[in-house]
Amino acid sequence: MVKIADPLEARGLTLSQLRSGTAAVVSEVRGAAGDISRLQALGVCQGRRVEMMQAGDPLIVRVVGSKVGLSHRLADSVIVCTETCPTQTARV
Amino acid sequence: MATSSELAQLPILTEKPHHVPSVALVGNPNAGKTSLFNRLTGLRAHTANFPGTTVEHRRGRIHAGEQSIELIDLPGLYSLDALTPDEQVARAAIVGEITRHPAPDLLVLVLDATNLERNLYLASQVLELKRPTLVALNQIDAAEQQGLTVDLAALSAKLCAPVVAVSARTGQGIEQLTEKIGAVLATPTAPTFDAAGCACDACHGCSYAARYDWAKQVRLSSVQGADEPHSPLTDALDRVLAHRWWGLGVFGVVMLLTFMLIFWAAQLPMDLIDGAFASLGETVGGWLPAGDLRSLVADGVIGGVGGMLVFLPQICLLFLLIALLEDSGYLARAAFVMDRLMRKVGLPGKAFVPMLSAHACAIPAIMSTRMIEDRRDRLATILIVPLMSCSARVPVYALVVALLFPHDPVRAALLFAGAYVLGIVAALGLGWLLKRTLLPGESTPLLIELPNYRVPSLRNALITTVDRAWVFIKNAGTTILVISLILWALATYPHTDLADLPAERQAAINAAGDNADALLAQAQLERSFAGRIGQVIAPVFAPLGFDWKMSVGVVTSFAAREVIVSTLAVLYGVGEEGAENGSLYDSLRTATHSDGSLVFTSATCLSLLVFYVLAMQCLPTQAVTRRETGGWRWPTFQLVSMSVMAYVAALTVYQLATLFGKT
Repeated sequence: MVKIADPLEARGLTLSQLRSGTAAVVSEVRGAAGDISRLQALGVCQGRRVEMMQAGDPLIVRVVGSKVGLSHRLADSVIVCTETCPTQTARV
Repeated sequence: MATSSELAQLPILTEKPHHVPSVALVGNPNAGKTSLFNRLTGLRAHTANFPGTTVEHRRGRIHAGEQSIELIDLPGLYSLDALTPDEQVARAAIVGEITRHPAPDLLVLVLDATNLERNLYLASQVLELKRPTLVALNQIDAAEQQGLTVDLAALSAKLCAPVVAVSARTGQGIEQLTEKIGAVLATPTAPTFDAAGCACDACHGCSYAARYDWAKQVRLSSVQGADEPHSPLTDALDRVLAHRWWGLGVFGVVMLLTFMLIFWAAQLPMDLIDGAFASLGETVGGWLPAGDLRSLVADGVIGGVGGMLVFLPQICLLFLLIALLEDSGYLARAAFVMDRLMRKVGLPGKAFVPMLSAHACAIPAIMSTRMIEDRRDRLATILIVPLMSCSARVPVYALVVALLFPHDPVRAALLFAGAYVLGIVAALGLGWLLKRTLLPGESTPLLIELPNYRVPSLRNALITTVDRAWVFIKNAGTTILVISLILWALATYPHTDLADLPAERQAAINAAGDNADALLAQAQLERSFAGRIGQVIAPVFAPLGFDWKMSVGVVTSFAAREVIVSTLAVLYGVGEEGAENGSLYDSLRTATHSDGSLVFTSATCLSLLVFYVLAMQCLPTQAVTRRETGGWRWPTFQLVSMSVMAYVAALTVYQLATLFGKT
């Protein structure tokens, strides 16, 4: 499953790149296993809608009904897509 | 709900006449679990550690009808993935893997009605354990205010567990919850949450995404109202309080006010405690015959314990204000805005609470590091907080400042502030160094829930304060008592009588009139073990500009730094009262070495100040470090590193100041 270049991913944004007031759907969470679990337990997880409340470092998002503050570095490991997520079904 | 049989039931903990069922509360950190626990138990609860861990929980008795039930408040959790020590212990407690703690007979899953979907994530993991479970849907009043209506029957069907709507804040539904707990315990229902019955096909060991899909489906079928409820007030406040720059400004003001309040409001009770112990010592001393026993009880025991309890008002106020700030939701924002700054030295934003608390006392500060999840971050914070200028340093600073600038309030204030800054800079520097050497690795990146703001509950904050204060008294109190007794013995034995002194000193004392007692006390301390140790180690401290009397002070204040002031008072022959009425300053200012040069030159004063800013000199803090880190390794490191730092810094300051002729 080694992929050299995935055109869909290349077009994907990271959560840290979202502008304040915009929303997106999480398509993938990468990074250290511990960080992924912490993010997912707070709702930052594949298929969830996230809304950027305050961009910057650290930044604030609203996800699954609650506000979560996280560092820019952590948000970098969250891939989102602003419309539908074409990769989502392919990955499951 | 109290019954008359309550007293008779208290000793049951040790006996086993019949099984007392236990019920554990499980839920997200901001689901109002602790408020619910306080509502159910009132003041009849205590804090305990699970054996072999530093993870705390609270337990207390409640009564459902005739039945007595042990209620356990587990740490707040977002998941059962066992990532943090809290999660590991909570999970072990739920399934009964902790020694001497059998699995609870019933779990009460506390869910926040205003944030149901996210809370259901943990719920799916808890229900999967197939333990008898009852759901308490908390903050139902807030949910109704947000225009949400919950179909309890539908929710209960989806979760395969009985659901009771409650509000810990108003007390709504609490009686029904207690009744239901009793009823479920009477006929324990087998948990039926499984794939076939509860429409969570993918939930067994499935991916996170499927759990959230299930959670969303459950919410949609049982809650009516706004799709994603949110609080406009919270969003408006966050535009200022969580703002990159405004947030820092507000944080500074909040902390300044907190500290002013602590120091201002604690003054009166501190004076009262001080006075009470002084008169208690005198009264009790009056009942005993003059001699060692009187000295032991009045000076050793009462003086030692009083010396610690005098800080209790400040510590309680600190606990209270932090509890209120946390409950209001502000503390999460403070950690959020401070994170960017704290990262620069490699510490998480959450480390600011311990660092600020340490300006009152390092012991509660070390206890409050528990909110830091990452073990290395937490350890680094524990190791640096004793460098903050705590209340016990203030008498030492005051002494030095008064010696250096008796008639210059501006310079005096600047030097005072400088001592505080030196402590903070040294702490941040040590933190930076630790994270690059002994505790390497990037700190866990910030991830924090920002709960909706709410009016904090004074009742909950008071209960927390009493709890924490009690832990402080038990920990610090027992250590302090032992240390006070040891130090008392070192400063008292071998006993010197007037007749033991050389003839010329006897003559001097006899001729001193009113001052005779003070001169005798001076001779006695000089010839005691503490005095002899001080004289032996005096050459070590000579390069710092300390004379042998100050070296004795370093010894006697080893366990509690503020003791240096009273030791100097005794050794410079003004008696302990001299430390209060100002005659100490006169006596120190004119004190000379054997060659006739002044002892307290500017260089010596600065060196003494720097030494006391940086030196450990507090055994109770070390005892708490041992408790929190589970061994003597880190307290030893703390002692050695701070002592070396203090020595080197004081040496440098003294030598430089002497070199540049500042005498």
